[in-house]
Amino acid sequence: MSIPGLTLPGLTLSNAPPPTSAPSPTSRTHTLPPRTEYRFESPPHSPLTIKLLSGTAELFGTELAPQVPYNFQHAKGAVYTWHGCVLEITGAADGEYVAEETPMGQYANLHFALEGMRNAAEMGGGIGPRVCVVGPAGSGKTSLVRILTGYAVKARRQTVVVNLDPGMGMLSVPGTLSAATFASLVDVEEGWGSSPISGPSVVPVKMPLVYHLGSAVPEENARLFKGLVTRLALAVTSRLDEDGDVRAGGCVVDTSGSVASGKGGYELIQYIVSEFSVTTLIVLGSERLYSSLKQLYPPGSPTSILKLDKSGGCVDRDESWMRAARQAQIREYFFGRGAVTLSPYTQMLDFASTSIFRVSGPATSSAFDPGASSTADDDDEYEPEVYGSAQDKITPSLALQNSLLAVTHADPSESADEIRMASVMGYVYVADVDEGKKKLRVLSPVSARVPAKALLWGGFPEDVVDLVG
Amino acid sequence: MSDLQHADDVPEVALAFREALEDLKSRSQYEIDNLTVIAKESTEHAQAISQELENHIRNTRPEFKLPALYLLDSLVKHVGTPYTVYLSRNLFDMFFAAFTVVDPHTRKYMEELFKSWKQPVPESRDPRPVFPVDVTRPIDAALIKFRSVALKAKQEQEQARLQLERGRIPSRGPQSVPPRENPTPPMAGHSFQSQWKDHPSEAHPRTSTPNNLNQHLGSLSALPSPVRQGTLTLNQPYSRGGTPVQYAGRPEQTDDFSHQRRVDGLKTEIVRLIEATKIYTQQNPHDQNKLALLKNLIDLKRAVEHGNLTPQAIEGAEGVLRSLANGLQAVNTHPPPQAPPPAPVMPPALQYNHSPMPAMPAFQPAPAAQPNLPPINVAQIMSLLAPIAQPPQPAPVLPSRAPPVPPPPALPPASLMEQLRAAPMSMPGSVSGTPAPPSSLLDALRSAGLLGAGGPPMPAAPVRPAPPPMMDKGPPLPADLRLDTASMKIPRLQLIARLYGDKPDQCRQCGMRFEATPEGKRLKGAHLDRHFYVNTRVADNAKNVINRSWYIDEREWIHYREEKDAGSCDAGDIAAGMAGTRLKGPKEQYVPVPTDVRQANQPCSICQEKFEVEWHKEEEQPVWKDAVKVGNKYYHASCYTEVSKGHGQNGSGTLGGLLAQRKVPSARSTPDRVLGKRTHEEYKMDAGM
Repeated sequence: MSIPGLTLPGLTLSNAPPPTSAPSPTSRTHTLPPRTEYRFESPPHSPLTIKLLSGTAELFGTELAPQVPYNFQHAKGAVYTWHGCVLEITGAADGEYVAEETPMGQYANLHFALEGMRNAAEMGGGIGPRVCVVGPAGSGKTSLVRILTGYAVKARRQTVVVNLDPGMGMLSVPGTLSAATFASLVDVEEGWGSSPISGPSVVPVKMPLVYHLGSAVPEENARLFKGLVTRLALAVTSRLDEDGDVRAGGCVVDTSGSVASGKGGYELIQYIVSEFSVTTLIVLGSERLYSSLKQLYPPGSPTSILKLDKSGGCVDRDESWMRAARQAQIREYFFGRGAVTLSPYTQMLDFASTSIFRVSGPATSSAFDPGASSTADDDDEYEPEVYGSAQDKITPSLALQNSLLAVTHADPSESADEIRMASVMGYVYVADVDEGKKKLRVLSPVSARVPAKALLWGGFPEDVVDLVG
Repeated sequence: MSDLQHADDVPEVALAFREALEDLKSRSQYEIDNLTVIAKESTEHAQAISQELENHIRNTRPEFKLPALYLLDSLVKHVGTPYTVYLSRNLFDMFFAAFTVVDPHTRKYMEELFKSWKQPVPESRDPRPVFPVDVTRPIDAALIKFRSVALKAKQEQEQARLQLERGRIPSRGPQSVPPRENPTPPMAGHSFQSQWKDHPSEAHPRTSTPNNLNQHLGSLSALPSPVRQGTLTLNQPYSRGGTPVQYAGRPEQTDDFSHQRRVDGLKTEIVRLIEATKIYTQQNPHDQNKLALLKNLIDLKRAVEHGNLTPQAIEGAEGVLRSLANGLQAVNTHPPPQAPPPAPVMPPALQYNHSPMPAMPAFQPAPAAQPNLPPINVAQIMSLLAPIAQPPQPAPVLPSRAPPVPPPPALPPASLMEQLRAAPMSMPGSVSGTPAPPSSLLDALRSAGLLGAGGPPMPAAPVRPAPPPMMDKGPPLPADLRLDTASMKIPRLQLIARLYGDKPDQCRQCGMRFEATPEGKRLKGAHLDRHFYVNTRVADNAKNVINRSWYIDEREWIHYREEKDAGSCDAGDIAAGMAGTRLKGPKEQYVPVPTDVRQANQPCSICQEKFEVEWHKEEEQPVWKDAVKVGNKYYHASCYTEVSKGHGQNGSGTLGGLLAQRKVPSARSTPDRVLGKRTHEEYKMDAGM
């Protein structure tokens, strides 16, 4: 997340180029004409370093500083230039080329149109645009969201970015849904940057609100997904309502490709649109999706719908690539990346002191089924406590080994639904299960005892085998 | 039953408890907690208190039984032993005294409640269930019987209903809801009545004391094959809801109950309408009118549940509901189950219009919302439901929208903005499962006084004023820049300058850009200070162990404020010293106790009071609470906030000035924090740790 990578000597960011890059034999320069894009895939194990020698360049909407090397590892990205630039590339790339056809003009127009709405919202004291980006997998949704976020930051806006794609986490691990306000520089090198750490961070950290879905696609647990979307939407709306700095900025919602697959008549898209009161629905790259959604949101409805071209740079990321990316994300959560090395702690937990719940347990009550119970919407009502729904609480077993447990903000005594719907404090990794001694060895990001909160266990993200030696 | 015979030797606390019980009319967490605490503090009178509760559960009106049972639940789960013993004695009787007379909806709650009694006490290490198995087993058995009997009864009654419908048109509106697969016994109402009529032989007057009935139940659960008898006794509850006969044994309450009966009927009707509306809205989540209707219905239901309706009000409401039911049925038949058609075949009023106001000018002068629920008059209920209750005559409604709206390119940008703004998002008050309807319509209703404020707390978002002329700020954006596909494709390179050329002053470290104006210079100065500060700290911290912090919870996140200005400053880094990157209120900040002895004995440079030392678990070292280090001096973070507030505006670009500025927003966001020094314990409580 930080600009200086391990390869950059002198963390004070001197402008001197790192000695390794200049004489490197694999170093080469690319001269990009205006409005073209350098697309690259960096290999998993050796970093690709990009340095802007002259001109201007941006990566997903965030501008590169001149003469500063940026390292990319196991990444696919594109550096776009509006005015032309010269880039120096060091390290082997799995693939690289300069593309002349890009939809960046459209994306910039979208940004300025949204700015218009934000200006208007600011003057009227209202809430800025709520944008939702939908499209099939690999159509560049997250890239567009990052571009919009980067441009909004450039325009000194604060926008709330919501990630509803559990396939990859935003500021967290995979399998989560999250939201964060982006008020400061978006990290160039790594996805969305870093959530808070206990030390200084060169690129400001972002404060996410995280929920645990525990599956790779929303449809696997649509009921929980909807509940969490409702929770997130409530939090985001409250934030937009209360935080004068964010209000006009509005929010941008990123979605999973699977909700756009058309199964179930785009029910989840409709759900998201209504929960977030989406004003602008962006369809990327799918004519069919566009025409179906146009029927759902005809002209005159509160949600306007817009189709934008998919970038030719979008490449399908195969499952093994995604899997490696997910593992890298989990590793980064515990150990940091680049110059920032984090130190997680190993600790032993007694079986008796843990309360682990399964994410996808049987539905017990209608407590959070939105709209199911009209009397249950009063916080002040007495709700009989149900013993951690005994059927859902699990005894630790070897099945837990190598998996992640979500530490929720909920107490173990709360109802199963409450626990599943609770926001997440963080994750611990189960390094070892000793069924004989009834002890768990876990890796916790924080040195203090793992809080006595309810833990959630789901089948996703998949096990990481070699996280702890 | 025994409340009188014991009257003399009932301890005072039990009498007080009895009075409090009489006021327990809703499942209010507050009241139940209160009573639980009272009971907990008076365990020496546990027997008397249990007796009071038992009597209350038996004797109170059906709709107050559930709250009482919840209190019972709270007692056994939160207090435990003496109460569990006393209350388990007659649990079976108590449970069924309530179960047999409450409506099916409440029964569901009771079954849920009972389920939790078979499980261990929440948060307890004790693996034994809340009530011993020998207490719960008979109830369980009876419940199972009840369910099978209910199922059978349902089938019978279904047939009866069909016959009845063939025979004559029912007097009041059961016609709206198509039968749905519903595992629970059907709602009370005319259908029960008809069943009652179909089985006159079984209609012996209701045995007035629950006890009798329960003896039946008890014997029933003991008998091996009591199907016939089961039908007989367990059908009893069905007779309720329709016939006053069942209450004949309690003449003193007849008036109440005939009134109650109507209210019950009304409630049932509302519940059914809510269900139907929900189904509809699930298929058409954007139908604002229906969402508003749903909201109104829920409000109405709440009003009805709180009682105090005058008979006229009930009458009025019934009428409205009837017409509504007709209308809704008409609507509900239209949308296909899956994707609604492109242009839904609906009465025009049901199409997207952002303001229903013109539809009911007659109700405009309705009195401003009554915040609470004193007797509600017909007009109010009418007005509550009117806008949607009269869908057939919307011809004059929004004539401009009625014809098919032209495709977006024809819309001037201003009108687009207007539309987008016309559906502002306002925050639903409660964090519950109910989907938040886009509330512009509700706001409109509220502001017109048509809708009471009695619902869940909703920030009264005023109707947004007409949009002011756009883009006063900065150079105007091109007029042809609209959110449509064609407009997006027009290259507008001149706009790119806003991202680059307009801000020529670039930070060479991170690429952020600033305007070449005094303001831009100031921001850049602050920005560079931040870089300097962080870089210094990175260097200082090289040997320190850093770890990922926990994420914050919803409430904290909602109130968390990002730092703006240069857009890249992290107040947590600066203000909290070593404390980590979380933005902390002044009271939550701490610094490690300085190792220098002279410094370690220094008081706060502002208030001259000593710092409090505390062992910090995460830091694994002693820290000063509520402290901040600025330069070489230590201050109470709260003192510092207070003082620096006054200087915050002189942003000088120095670190001190920067720091001062940073402090302002956090102090402003939570003003209460500067009022006193908060202890770590308080913080922990607040943070729910």
